[in-house]
Amino acid sequence: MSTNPSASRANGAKLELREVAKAIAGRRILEPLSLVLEPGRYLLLGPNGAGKSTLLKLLAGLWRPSSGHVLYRGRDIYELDGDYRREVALLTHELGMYEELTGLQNLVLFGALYGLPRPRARAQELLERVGLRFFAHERVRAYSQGMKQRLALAKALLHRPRVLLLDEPFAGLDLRGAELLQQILEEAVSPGSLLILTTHDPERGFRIAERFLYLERGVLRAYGDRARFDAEGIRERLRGIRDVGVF
Amino acid sequence: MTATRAATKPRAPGLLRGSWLVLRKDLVYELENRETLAVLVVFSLAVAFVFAFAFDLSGAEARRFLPGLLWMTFLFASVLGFSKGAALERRGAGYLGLLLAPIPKEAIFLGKAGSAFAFLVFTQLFVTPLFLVFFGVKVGSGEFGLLALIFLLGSVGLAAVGTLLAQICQVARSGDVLLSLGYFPLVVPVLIAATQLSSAVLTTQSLGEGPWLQLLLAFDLIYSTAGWLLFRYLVEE
Repeated sequence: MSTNPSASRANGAKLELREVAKAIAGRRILEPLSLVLEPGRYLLLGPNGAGKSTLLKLLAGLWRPSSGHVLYRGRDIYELDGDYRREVALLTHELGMYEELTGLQNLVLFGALYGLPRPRARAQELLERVGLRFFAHERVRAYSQGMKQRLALAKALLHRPRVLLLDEPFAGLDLRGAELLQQILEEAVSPGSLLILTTHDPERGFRIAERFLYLERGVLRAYGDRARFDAEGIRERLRGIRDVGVF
Repeated sequence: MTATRAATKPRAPGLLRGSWLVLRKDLVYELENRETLAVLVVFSLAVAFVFAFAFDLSGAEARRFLPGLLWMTFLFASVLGFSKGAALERRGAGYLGLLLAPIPKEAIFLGKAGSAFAFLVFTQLFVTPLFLVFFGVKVGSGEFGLLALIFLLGSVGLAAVGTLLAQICQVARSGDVLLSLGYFPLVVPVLIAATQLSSAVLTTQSLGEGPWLQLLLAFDLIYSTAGWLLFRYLVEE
């Protein structure tokens, strides 16, 4: 893969939202949103109920938009179907694995579902990387919350996704786990990849991300780089101190 | 997608391989835990004892009542199976992992219906001899073959309906209430046809002359097709 930023951008994991909206049971969760996400690392911010998790699920192809289209490299993700899902990984509050199976069994199963040629070897490699090698044969239900989070990260990285969507990845991790996650993400996100993560801790998020998106009540209120984040007063807004104008 | 990307990204499993992986996951879980099978064995033994002592039947009378009792047991055992299966998917939200995997969505339906079907066949293999012994009914090889055919056809309908409803319950997060409420009325045609056919086999050693076989086949087809077509819509909405 090229390390030239412009070449990476041209061939990279680009997502485009065209008037994407989502309503659930008649309630609008996400207002029509048009946006181009070039390869890079984004921090998705917003208060609870802003629509962050909904947006990530729409981008992952887990939920179909009520209206509009999500395009991956110019093609609708629902047309691409499995070809898109093997490029994307979503880490959510829910584990997305089987608690009654062992950590290794889970990763081997999902490795096979992603069509990896040697799922067991890849599973063992990732268990080692996230510090769970000695717990590989234990059932996931016996794992602590932090261990589950590490396992979920290992599962997300199994198929070397180019679009990595992480919903509160630091939740449940201790300091060491958080540092490890940050280190793993640095390694895993290659130049042409797209990473979007949500967090309630912008400082920690900006150690990984270069740009931010700020959602409020289902509307994208602001986006840009770190300087814009400071200029728009997003931190204060997240603390409920001041409003951000709609642009 | 460039050639380089195609070479580095492995091909995702297709429909059959994807279905087999989903089915195998359920079988591995069950063989290691025997959670559902243990519940099923205890339930079946209890039902067989209760029926055997409550209805002191023998001879032709036993042959007349046996199909209804058998299918009632299969029905309740299948609800137990679906509830357990749904609970397995809920704990840890394993179904989310399946939905994110690049296999066709239909493969998930096929794999889950396959594991429900396997569970039903196991139930029938365990329950039927138990009932035959308790009610003193002997069946010949011809009757056995016809009964096996009916049991398999009946299981197709039950598995298709149950798998679809279990998925609706996952989406609606309604627990098992919706599963039971929707399942019983929907499987009535399958149950009636399968019971009538089983009864015909045990009393006349044939499938009888009524429309029951056609009805059973028709509902198997309707429910399997509906499950196949609706599953993708349900999981994506």
